[in-house]
Amino acid sequence: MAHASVSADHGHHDDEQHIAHVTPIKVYFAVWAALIVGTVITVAVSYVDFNVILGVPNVNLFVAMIVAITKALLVCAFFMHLKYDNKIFAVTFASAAIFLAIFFLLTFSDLMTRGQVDDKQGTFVKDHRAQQQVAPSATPQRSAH
Amino acid sequence: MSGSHHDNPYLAHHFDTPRQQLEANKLGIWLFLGQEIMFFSALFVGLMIFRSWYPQMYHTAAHELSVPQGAFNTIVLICSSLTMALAVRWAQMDVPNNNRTVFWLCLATFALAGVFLVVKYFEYSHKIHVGTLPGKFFDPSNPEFPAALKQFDNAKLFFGFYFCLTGLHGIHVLAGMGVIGWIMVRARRNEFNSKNFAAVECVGLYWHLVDLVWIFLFPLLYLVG
Amino acid sequence: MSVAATASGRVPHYLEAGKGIKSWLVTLDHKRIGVMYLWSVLGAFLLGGLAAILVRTELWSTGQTIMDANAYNRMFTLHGAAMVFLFIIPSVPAALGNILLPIMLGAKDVAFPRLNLASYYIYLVGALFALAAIAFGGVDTGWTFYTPYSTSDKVANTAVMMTFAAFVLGFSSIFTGINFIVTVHKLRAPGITWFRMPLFVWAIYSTAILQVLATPVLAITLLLFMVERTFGIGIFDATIGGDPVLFQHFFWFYSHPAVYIMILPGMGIISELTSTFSRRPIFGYTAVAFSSVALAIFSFLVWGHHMFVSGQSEYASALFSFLTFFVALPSGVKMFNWLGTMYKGSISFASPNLYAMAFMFLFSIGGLTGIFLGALSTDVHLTDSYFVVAHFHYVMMGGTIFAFFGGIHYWWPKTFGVTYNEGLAKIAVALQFIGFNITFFSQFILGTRGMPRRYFNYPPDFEELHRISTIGSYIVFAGFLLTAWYLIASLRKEKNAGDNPWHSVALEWQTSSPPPVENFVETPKIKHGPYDYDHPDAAPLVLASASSNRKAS
Ligand SMILES: [Cu+2]
Repeated sequence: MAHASVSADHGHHDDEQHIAHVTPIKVYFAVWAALIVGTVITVAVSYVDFNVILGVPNVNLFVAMIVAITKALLVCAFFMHLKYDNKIFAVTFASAAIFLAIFFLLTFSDLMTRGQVDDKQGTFVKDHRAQQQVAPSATPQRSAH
Repeated sequence: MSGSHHDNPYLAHHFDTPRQQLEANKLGIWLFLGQEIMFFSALFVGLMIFRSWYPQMYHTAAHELSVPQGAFNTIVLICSSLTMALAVRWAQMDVPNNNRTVFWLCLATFALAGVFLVVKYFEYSHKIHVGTLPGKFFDPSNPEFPAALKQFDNAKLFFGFYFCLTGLHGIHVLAGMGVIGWIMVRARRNEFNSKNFAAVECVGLYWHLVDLVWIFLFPLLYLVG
Repeated sequence: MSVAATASGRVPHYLEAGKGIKSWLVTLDHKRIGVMYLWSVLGAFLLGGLAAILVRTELWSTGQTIMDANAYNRMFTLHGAAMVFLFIIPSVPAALGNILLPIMLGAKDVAFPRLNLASYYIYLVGALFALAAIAFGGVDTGWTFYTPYSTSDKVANTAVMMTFAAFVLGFSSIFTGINFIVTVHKLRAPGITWFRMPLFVWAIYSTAILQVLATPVLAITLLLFMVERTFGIGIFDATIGGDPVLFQHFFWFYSHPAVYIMILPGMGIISELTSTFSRRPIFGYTAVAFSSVALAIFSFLVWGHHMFVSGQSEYASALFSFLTFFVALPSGVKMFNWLGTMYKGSISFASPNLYAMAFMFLFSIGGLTGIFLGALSTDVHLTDSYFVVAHFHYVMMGGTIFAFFGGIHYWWPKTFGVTYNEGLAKIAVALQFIGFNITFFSQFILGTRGMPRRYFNYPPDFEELHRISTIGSYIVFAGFLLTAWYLIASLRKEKNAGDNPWHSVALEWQTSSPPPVENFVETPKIKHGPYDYDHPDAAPLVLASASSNRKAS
């Protein structure tokens, strides 16, 4: 077993009486360090506006989500023991994530395409989207608190 | 029933083996975590929709949030996840004084959760001070209202989502503190050992979910404007 | 066995395992919790049914008949909300599912008995809030609570109380779902493989997936609605840049799967009834089992078909319409397999099977008219007409409620150990079936002629069809009163049903009726599936220990 067990009498996965799976302490600290590094990266990257530099929208969102998903997978795999546990737990959690993705995709399929066939279908009471052309405060200016 | 398993005081009457009982408990809590994801889902969907509809408003409003405070809270929650994971680890081990270690690790987790809420309090009170609040409390006439936001009369949408998401997450933090406190009481009574740790593990799983939600909330609200 | 035998040597059944009201209120026995759910949902059915009768009576003539327009709006909202949230959603899973699922799996209880009792009390709290909302003046939004009307000043604040009730009821449903999924995964007795589970269990399992993954979206939607109404955060308010149609997306993301929370368990009952009363193994067991799971998954992909005329984009409408047709596949699989099971079977016309056959007839009509409505171009004309009302009543009432009552009749001897008056039952089924078709077939015609749903008034041309519909509703109501009478009367009788009155080979009939507290005197060893009427070991005999107990009494 790659994950050496700490308690001496442990190691029988299938034994119905010995049920604890103890993860080595250094794994927990390594994951913790990786999470801190990920946080530092995601904050640092947010001060660079890739959207402007590359001229492509949502690059920053993409980078931030890659980092966040990596962090989430680390938490799930090690802190939440999904790597060692019965796979049914991972399937349960993943199915929620899949239905979340469906929720996103199908809702966006409506809200991002209104008014493209019949412009009355995209009518707004007052089109707040027009405001985005006004006053572009171009570079990220964070207010200091 | 005269089965030998009734000699095990930790085994409920309708289970046959400790493994069956542990896996049932864990499957139950994982399903609960799955429903928590779906519970938060609509807020995330709505937030991202309005971000796509009104990128300039979102950009400007997001920059009114304090990244240092948000980042600090992210670190606090990551540390609390570590102490919680270690508490589960010690609850699983038959070593001397393991319940004492569980108690102190849970206390550390509890304290870090408290720090998170204190920082949140400072963030909220700043917004109350300048009037960047949701719905009918949104107040552009406040003298300290951020000048950059005055041109967006739909900016209250952003703060509606900010307060709903962080408020709901904060309620989950409070609930987590409650169940961690319950684990501390039971650790004081020396209840946990390698045959009886499911309660600590389930509370731990819940606490990691609270961390997971924040791992996504922080960049989406504070960073990707 | 944890329960001491009575003086006669017979193991006491769960109804005698404790006396007095307190032994019920704090019980952790899944069967007793199921029985409490059964009486509660039947109470809600009565409430919703009375509201329906008042709605139909008001529509007897044009203009005002017995109530004014405001009272009428509150009455149909009461009918919809009570029927959906208080009756149909908990009906089959929480009542029959609780009573039967652990027995069918050879388990002693559900995985989390305390959580099970807690869900019942959460249900009661939700029901109390709903009743309070009615007492404080009611709600006139319809059970769908659509924004922007529901967030406007025109709607009374009782709307918040009513949505809070639905929010609470949702958590009851979520906890039941979690309990059932874990029970199916972890508490099956030795020998019950996944493909030896009764199809009712497959249906309840698929339903539970929906309860756990879809219901929280209703909870957050209603929470957002309450926050929007109280603080005006603007998410559903078009005047500050929000989107009222977003509420419909959120609402139907739950409420379309909720349609399958309502119908899937009913389909599971029909699978049990068809096999038992045709004395044949179920035709295409695997296909029927997977069609339940497929329906559960597809149901997450089609919610936009409720929004074709809401202002939803044409691309999304076309996509949702396309996806909706896929739902017909697993539904068709079920229907043809039931017919295949009955083909060349020795079909009994006992009242539960009459309900099952009524289900197949009515659900076919309900399902096929659903295809009309899923088709984009037809739906634009039929939206919000009586055609829609008739369609979903053929599915929800002709489907789920007929299946539910079929199940109640089938498992009545199992649950209470008594038989009801079969002659009266046959008359009741006939009244309900005939009355139902009179009520709702006329509404298909009204709908195609342009009668909009939820309207207080209508042109005189429609009066004749409305009167036919109202008369039909009285016939249905008489049928259900008759059912209530003979079922309640049967409870006063001696427990005379025997352990296995239908001679079924399914596991739940292999223990005594009513079952003992932990369901089986010994953990059963299962050697064949629930429909193996042709299996050599499957002589419909009761397990030796249970039958000797029975004889001793
Ligand atoms: Cu639908």
